[in-house]
Amino acid sequence: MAAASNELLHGTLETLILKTLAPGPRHGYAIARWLEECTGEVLQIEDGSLYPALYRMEQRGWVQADWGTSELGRKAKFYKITPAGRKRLAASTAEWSRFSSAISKVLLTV
Amino acid sequence: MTEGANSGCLPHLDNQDVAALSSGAVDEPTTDVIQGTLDLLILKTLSLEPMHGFGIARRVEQISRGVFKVNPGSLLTALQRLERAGWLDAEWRQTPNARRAKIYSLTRAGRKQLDAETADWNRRAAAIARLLKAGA
Repeated sequence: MAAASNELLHGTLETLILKTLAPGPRHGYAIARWLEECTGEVLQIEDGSLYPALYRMEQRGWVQADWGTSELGRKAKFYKITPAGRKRLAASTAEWSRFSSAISKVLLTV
Repeated sequence: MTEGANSGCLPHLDNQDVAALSSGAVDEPTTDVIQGTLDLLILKTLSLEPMHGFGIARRVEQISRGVFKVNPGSLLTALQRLERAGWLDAEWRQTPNARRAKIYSLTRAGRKQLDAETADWNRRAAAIARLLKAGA
């Protein structure tokens, strides 16, 4: 059950991260906490999925990472959405709504 | 979207977002069904009536109006996994065109699983949709 749910989330994690970064740069820990908070903890963001996703997104040029100082005075990598990332966010938001409405259509069939 | 309790965590789209949204730039649509979702779709399809593998794939593609293409390899693996979990029964039967095919049906445990996964999906999809719509 839990395993299935995480896989379900897998395809959308990058979209959710981009959305989180749209208002401004954040570090990884803040991204995860923000997503959990905003979804009433319906989504649990594991470090083991978050950081590989951020790495992939950096490679693809959707986010740019810079070292900075966190609010607790620690060194942390801050991620910033790039123009390509914003394009990707728009495209994947559209994809998500297509995908989720297709699932709902199947689930509502009686 | 309610701005109350969560207002601090809602991002707002700025002009760049709006420009990106209206440009309508959409990449190749993703049609591969993610594994967790595939299980859910199979359970749902079999809750309608027992079916053979090819029938399940066709039905899922039909109902989703072609959004989902079910890869035969992934389907077979998923069916085996679901059968091992005790959610499906499989039985060899004669199909209308006189071929033998493995017909899958939902077990009582499978029906419970379908209900649980459906509730889980609805909860997650609502949370994601809320988040993605925030400020849009």
